[in-house]
Amino acid sequence: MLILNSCNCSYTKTLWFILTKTTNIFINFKPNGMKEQKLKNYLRVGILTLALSFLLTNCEKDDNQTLLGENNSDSEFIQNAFNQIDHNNLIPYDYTVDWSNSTKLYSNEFNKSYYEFPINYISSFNPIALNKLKQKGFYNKYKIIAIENDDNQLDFYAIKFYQKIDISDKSIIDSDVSFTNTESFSGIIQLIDIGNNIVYTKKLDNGKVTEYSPIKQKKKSSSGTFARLDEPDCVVYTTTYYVEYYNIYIDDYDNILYEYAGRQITGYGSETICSTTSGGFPDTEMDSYSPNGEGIYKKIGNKYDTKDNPELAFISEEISNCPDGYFPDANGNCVDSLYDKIDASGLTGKEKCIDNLLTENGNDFIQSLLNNFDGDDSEFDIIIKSASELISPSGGNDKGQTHSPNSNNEIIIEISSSSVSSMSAIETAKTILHEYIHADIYRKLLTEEDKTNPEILNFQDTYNKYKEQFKDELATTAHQTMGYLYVNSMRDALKAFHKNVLKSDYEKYTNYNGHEPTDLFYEALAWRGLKEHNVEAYKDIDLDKIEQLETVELDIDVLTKDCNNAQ
Amino acid sequence: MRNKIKIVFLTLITLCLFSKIQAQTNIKDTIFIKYDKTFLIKKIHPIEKYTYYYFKEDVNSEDAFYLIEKSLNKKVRTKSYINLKKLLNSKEIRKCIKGKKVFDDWELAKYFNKKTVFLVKKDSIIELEPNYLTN
Repeated sequence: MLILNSCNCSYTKTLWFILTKTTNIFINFKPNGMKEQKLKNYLRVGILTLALSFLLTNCEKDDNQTLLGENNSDSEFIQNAFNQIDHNNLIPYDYTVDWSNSTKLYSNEFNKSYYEFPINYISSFNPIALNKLKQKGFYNKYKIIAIENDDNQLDFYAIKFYQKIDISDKSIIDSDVSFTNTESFSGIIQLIDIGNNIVYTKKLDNGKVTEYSPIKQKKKSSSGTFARLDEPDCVVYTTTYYVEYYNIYIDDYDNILYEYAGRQITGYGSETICSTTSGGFPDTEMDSYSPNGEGIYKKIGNKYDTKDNPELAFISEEISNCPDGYFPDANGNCVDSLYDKIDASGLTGKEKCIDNLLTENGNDFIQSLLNNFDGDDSEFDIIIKSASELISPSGGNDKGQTHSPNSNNEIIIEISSSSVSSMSAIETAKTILHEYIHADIYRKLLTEEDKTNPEILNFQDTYNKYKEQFKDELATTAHQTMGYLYVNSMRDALKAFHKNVLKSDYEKYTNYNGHEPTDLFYEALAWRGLKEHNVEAYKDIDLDKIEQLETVELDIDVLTKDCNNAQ
Repeated sequence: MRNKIKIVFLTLITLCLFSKIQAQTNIKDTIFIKYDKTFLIKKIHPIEKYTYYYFKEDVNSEDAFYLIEKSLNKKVRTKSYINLKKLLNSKEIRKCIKGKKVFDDWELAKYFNKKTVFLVKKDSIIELEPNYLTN
């Protein structure tokens, strides 16, 4: 009974009535013996279960909408009524409408019939891509709605869904949203007309309406203004139209930041603005400083565009003027990805310079390592940034730290600026590479996408063997693994980087010592950051070689420190 | 007739259970831990100034697993607490290697990483973000 009462379906009472009547039929049935009595009991429980199951799984229909029927011939009529060119600006992305399902519905809110259609984006710059950038606020989703007007013609509107982000439920980023069925929707639904005016707003919290501004429909006199169904107070304003520009970027802590970049007046006009009875629009992207995500956007509004009087406010995401496949970054430059999955924007000074050189000119080992995190479809992303100083949780100083993936599958690497400042340029490269390898180890241990890949399984096996084998040792398994599996690759990568990129420093070494740096020199460099942790792989090296490594290692500290001078 | 009714009855029960399980698959587990100084050490990061907690067992480890204070959440209701003592002594976290019990902070990190974690203090409930750090 408690469950039934908690369900908000309009037909709950009807079902309960039927259920009661049905069970009563069986209850009133007079059994002839034990068998019939058992039969009766089974049926009673069965019907109850069926009814409960039905009630629990089918409470989806919004009682405001009534399904009228489906007519395939409607599709052609609607499609002909919709002129794509005229309606291009309804949704600020390149799109087409999916007309395949033209189910006619009736809305008690509008007192009219309507059709709801999904859309397809034809450019890779679209809300689906932008939504993936968002950590908080709302996901933006769009659909098209066609509402039958009094003249039996269709008025088309964009339905803009601001779906509240729930970081604990990643599935909602791709979930379907619907004007017809809002049962579990949290966020805001707006209808936007062809003139980019918001004509309807509804705010919902888990399907429950919390704020509502009913649809403003065109007057029959077609005066060009709008009148609301609930006869509001309307005032004529002289409005100044302008475009506001914002730079939008994500900071080191994953906050989306909006930087006001200026305003341009584009014209003047008069508007009839009708106040809502429900207290205006909800405080979301209608706020003055809340555009949608990374990139450059326009905000179109009038000078009365404040929280108290926001009716004309409308944020229009600017379509990129970049060629297909390119997107505007926070500075307006066309880049081949909206955001690089290895985000090094938080690096500064020397470490930034070295990281740029390393990621652009590193050898095959480095490129293949970094490719695991590059591109829009990588499972894990890297954010690498500078920190003035790095203190480990137990209080020690670290040159670099790599954090396990956070809830967004981002691996954060921090490089200590104070430590790096006293290092040679080539050792700085080693420090950054060391942390990238830590990131790669996390990826190999935690991947879901590649968990059946034999190479990954083999790595995990080896890692677990080292874990068991060396658990009594102080060094961590990650460092033990790096010592056994990565040192040779690090040696070769650092050698190529020194010779081909830090050319000036390489020549200085060669001229001073009368020979090129040996492989042993780069191996000694690779062991830094590992041998201090007493890794077993280093202890396995014979004593003669260790002596040589320690001798040649001294050269590392006398090499060029400045990144630019080293090139 | 009786058998048919039995089958229908069992099918209905299975369907009910299945739909309930399906509805729950996307929900990340939430766990509550009590602030207990026997197991947890509270610290403030000297530079970043955030508050974090790490396990006493982990104090001598080169790498570290710790939980960062994320946000105060008064709306979350406490259900049942995770028994930290039991967790830290479980065979997954305290592995028996060569006849010796060894604390495995990486396994602990993996355990917490799949969950939404709340720390319950006397008068507050704080969401914590698990973090494993290598240097």
